[in-house]
Amino acid sequence: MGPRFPLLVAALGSCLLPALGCLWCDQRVVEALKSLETDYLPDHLGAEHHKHLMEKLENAVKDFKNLELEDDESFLEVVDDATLEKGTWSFLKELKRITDSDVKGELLVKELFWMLKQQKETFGRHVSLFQKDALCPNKCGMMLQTLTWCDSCEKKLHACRKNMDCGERRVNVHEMEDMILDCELNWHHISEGLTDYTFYRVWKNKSESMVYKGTAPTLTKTRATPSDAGIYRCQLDTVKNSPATIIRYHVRVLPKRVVEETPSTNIIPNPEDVTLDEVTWTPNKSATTIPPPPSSPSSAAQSPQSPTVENMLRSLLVGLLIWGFVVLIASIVILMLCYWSEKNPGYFIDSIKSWVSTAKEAAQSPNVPEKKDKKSRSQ
Amino acid sequence: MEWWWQLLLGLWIVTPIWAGDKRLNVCMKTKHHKPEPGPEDQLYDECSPWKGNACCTTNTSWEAHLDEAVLYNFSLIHCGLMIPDCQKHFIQAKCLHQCSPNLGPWIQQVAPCEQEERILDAPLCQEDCVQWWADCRTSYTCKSNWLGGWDWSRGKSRCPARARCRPFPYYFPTPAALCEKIWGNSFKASPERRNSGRCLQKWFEPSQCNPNMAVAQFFASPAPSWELSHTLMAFSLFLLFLS
Repeated sequence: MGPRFPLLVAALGSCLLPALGCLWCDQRVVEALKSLETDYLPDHLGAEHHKHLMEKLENAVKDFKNLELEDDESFLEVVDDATLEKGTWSFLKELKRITDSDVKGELLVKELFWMLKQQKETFGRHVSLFQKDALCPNKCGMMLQTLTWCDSCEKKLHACRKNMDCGERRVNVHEMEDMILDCELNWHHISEGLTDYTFYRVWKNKSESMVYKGTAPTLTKTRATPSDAGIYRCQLDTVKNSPATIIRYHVRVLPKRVVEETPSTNIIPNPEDVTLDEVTWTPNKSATTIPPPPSSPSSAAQSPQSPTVENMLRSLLVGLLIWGFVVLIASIVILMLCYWSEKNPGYFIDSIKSWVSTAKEAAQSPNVPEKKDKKSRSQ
Repeated sequence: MEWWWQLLLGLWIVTPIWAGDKRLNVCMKTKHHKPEPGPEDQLYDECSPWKGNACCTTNTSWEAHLDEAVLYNFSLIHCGLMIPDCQKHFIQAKCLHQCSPNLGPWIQQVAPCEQEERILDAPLCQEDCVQWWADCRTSYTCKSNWLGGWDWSRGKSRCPARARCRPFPYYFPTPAALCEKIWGNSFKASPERRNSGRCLQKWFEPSQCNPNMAVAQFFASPAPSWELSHTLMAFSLFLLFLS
């Protein structure tokens, strides 16, 4: 055991030296290793090896080295709080498992370094995920994110700057409907240091006038009129001298929409939809069950509708009446016939027979003269 | 006879002054500089002091803040993300380079027959170099000259094969080494201090006047100093008066 042991420690320690440098930034890891030295080692390892082991462990945790990340990515030497938390928790859990198992001597050293190797790989996976998804998730503009630099353990606010332009949006809104311009991007709620959203109206001579400034990310203008059409610009400011996001909107105001079945205003309709002829209309009373936009645009839309609809109703009524009369007359006739047949049982049948026989005679008599004609022609 | 002499003398005085002015308020001829300096509506962040008169556009001022910009042939993240305090100095230097209309006296042609220009030995004030070096001590790099020599094989500029990432002081032992070597001697570490009028500041308060204007004027004037020109002008006027 004697001479080989320090060599073993040295070999294991030097060849794996993982980049647990980030973990050293968490005070709990530092304290856990300290308590390992003071509370656990005295009973589980020879005193002569303590200092050596602790040095190796400290180096293993402190050393700055490139983590091997997936896809040949290079480690950017920063982590966020969430990733650091994951790494710390995992490390402490494993360390506790070792100390709880009461292992001693050479086996203890082996277990410790094996655990460190595992933790390095696990941490590497966490960091890969972080760099791919959580580090600067904005695709445009500027986002502010607090990060910890692993080698110096400094925690600073990093400005994630990407392409300045966050795009131009085309917005079509129908007259008298609500115009809603939405300036929120999915990373706004995770960024730090954001202040107000400001909407400007951009005029033809490039000058701008402020329309709204506040913490809400949308600009709503109810009952749009053709004068609202034009270019708008939204800017989200930050505590620094750069804006986080700039979006431009090209707003067009389309003619008043007649149908009010769905209240959303940012749909771009087909031009054909605006024809009125084949559209079914729900009468005024059911319009109240549809959730608002305000009823005034819907009633305004409905009033030019009413004359043609009334005409349809009228014709329907008339048809119904006529049909009703016909049915009435038919039923009266049938009743009378039944009455007569009761009174004179054979009369009805006799009358039918005589009608049929007269019909037959009439059919035959034109045939006879025809036959006579044919005879005379053939002769 | 006499007036001929005076005319020649006058011309001799005027021409250097006139030629000296040609190097004031100019922009370098590169793809990303404006042809003439002028005011800009909006310059971002560290570039905002140059708003009143700049050689850079709004877009360029944003590009100067990016970690990896096409504009510059290097990225700031070749050895990990740079700490904001250190990154700030790089951004300021980029802003000075792109936006300042006062670099005229140090503009040189990149190659004898090429149109493209660069600056050489522009003197940076002592405080600027010292602070830059101090704030970047905990950052890492793998090269001492950042203009060229990068490995672009994987799409981004990375450290060349055998260059290891080490702390800044390893590649830049002194503030002077940082200022001078990092951009291939575009800058020079001047022993002068700020507000002396003899060294350029890579940043100044947006509310104050551009102090580099006076510096450019100082360096733009040729060998006969201002005092001598004035004396010669007075002398020629005196001769004129005599005749």
